[in-house]
Amino acid sequence: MLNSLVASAKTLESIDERLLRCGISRRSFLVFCSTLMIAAPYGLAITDKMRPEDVAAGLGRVVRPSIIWLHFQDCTGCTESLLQTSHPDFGDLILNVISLEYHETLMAGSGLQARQALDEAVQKHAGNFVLVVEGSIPRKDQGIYMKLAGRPALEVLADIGGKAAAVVAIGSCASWGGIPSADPDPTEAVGVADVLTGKAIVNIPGCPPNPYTLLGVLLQYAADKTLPEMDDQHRPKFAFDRDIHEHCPRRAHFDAGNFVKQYGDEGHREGWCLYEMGCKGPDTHAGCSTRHFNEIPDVWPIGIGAPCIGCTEKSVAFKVPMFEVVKLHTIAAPPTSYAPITTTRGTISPLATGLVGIGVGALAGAGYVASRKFSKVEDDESAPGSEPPTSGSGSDSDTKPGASA
Amino acid sequence: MKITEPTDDKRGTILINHWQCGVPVTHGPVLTPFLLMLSGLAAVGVGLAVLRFFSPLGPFSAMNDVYAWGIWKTFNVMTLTALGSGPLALGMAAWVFNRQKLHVVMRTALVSGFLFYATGLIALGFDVGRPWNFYSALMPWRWNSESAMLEISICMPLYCSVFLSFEILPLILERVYYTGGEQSRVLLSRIAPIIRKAYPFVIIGAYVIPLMHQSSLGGLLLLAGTKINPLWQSPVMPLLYLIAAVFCGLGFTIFLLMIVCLRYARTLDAAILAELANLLSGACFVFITVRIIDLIWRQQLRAAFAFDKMSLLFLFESAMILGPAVALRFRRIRETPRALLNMSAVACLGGMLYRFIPTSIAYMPLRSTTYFPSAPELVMAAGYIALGSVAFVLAVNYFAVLPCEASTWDHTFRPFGWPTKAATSPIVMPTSPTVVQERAI
Repeated sequence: MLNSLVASAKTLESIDERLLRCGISRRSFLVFCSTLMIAAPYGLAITDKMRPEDVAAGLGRVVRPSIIWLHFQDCTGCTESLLQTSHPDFGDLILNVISLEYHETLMAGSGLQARQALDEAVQKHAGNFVLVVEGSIPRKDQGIYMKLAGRPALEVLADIGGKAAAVVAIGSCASWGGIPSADPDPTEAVGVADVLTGKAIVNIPGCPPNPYTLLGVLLQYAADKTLPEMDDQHRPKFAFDRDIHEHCPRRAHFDAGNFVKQYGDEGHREGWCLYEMGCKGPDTHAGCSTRHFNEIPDVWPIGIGAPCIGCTEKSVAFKVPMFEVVKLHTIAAPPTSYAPITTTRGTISPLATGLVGIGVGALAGAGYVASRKFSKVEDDESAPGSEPPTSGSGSDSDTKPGASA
Repeated sequence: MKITEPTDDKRGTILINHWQCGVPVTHGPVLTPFLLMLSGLAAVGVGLAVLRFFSPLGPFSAMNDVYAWGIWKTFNVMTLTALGSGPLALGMAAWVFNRQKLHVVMRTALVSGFLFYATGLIALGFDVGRPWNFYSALMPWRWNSESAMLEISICMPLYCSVFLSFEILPLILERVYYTGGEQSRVLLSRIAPIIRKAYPFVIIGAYVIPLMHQSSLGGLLLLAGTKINPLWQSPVMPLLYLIAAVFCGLGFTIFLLMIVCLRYARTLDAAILAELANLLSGACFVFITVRIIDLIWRQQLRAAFAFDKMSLLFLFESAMILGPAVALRFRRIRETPRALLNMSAVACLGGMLYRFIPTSIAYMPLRSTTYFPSAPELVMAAGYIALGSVAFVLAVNYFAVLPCEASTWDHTFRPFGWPTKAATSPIVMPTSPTVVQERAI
């Protein structure tokens, strides 16, 4: 198998051919397609299908996209996150689904060898490859704080980015500066969009982002050279159109006023709402609350009991203190405490029953008295209900005095 | 309608048995000890309500997770708005079925209905679990169109604040006319024809909207499914709730008219009361018929006569409705004030029982929990009712609400009343309004 892989590395072939050559079963491919449908449920042309077979039909014809992955000022967390994908696993991903041409963390070569690989890949696929950028770009002092093979990041990005067909900025750092741009911002770090202008750029912010978002974007681009629909911050809508708070599994606790007050307290152990611990969920748009990481339920910050830090929002992450309670814009904040409403057994207080008795008794008594008054005064001509002397006759509406009188 | 000759009695207290228009109560003190007592109760209730607003629901009510609907919803809203449906029932009869005779008692029904709705809405406002989100009801783009509660939460305040308020506007304008300066009189005389023309069209809403929300109240209970005893839980519950509202409204209007006439020593108009009693009896019969057909259709007739607790409750409730329905068929009972009072009260109680039982007594979730309102809850509920009663007493004292003979009131300005012969009869029109009154208005 290894030999066949080495042989095929020379040419790019479609995913179907590639899988056939590597002996990967149709079934595992369909499983992968289903996973993609779940990971990127709608809004993405390639997965917006009714059945996994339809996705497989479209995906199978895709010629594996060549990817060049550049690291700038980053922690490699986004790569680490990508390494954890299990459907497909990472080996499958980089060998069979995409064609990873250059990736500093994963490649075996180093130094001159690595530089040559980069130059070759850029030359070979010029105008066709997708550039994935991880990490922010320093601008202070002509960008000397981050260099790649002796060239500042600014220059490298301008050079390679200019030859790319599309640019994907993965992670918050590449999207707008991220952690390196946090106050006091010693390197004047900025995102890809601030350096490269006039390019189709997709921002996938997150610290780290969900790898399936990247995968979905790349595959759609490879399939029909289109990018998914994006919001005003160039984030693909299919992954970033939801408010964390609206779909949070702990939302019911928010509504019921069950808040964690301190890490490790009873509420924290019970999995209550982290809003008062500074959770930025209400201000953050991302799919985390519905698409957890690594296909393991509850693997995402709020799921493991840590408040959301708003890593996908430029105005929140690394700008607003982590434990500051956010202001709610779309809904009003609930009171800081509620009385317990969970009662297992109702109580009947003697006072209440007494009050009901007095009330009913008073009403019944008053009713009886009123009723009696009508009959008592029946003979009295001037009383209500009696026939008045002034009225004319002949009307069928005249009251009849009681016969008992 | 028969026209009675104007009398020279200037106090509006002479005993006449033909109601022709609304006349305020112009004699006797307003602030009686009874009214002060009611005000005290209302103050305690509203005070508790305000406290509840700053404190959680827990200490104030006995509501729990299983019985989330306490007495404020089940009694003040579900049950008492049925009594407050007088304007709906009477208005339907007067405007739609052209029983012109009934226009004269519309004002009493309107004021009482408005107060029932208003106090019910106040009760609801203090009952809302998350009141800080309630303003969203004003923003259609935030409406949850999937919610069964939406219809009621929009409809009820709309009905009360727009349509009922528009219907009682003439009362207020008339008072402004009589007590205001020359300028306001001129202004009112100018805008009166416009309002009068618009009146029948605007109040279409006043008869459409209550049909919607009164039936929706029953519709809400459909959501409770099997939690409600099958004797009450039925697909026709929306219709039954509406019919119950109609006869409760009629019954309560009769009851109220008789009680206030007793209190303020006014005579009764046997013709109008008999007409109302006729309608009441008819509505009760319709209700009973629908109820029985429904029980047969759902094959619950056997359960209805099983003589267990629920069956006895059902039979008691039905007897309370059927009794007045049959009794009021007899002309002698219709025209005997005491019997009429009793029968209308019994019909009201029967209707209230029907509206109350499915929400509370026949509402039996599987979990073994009971609900009985706590003392503060009861005081608040009674406080809201007391508030409405105080407002009603003040209204009859300061506005032309209660029906009386036309001659006892100045009719130079009756821009909104239904054109009766009395209004157009050649009563000598004074050039300036001479309000007949003993007490300063």
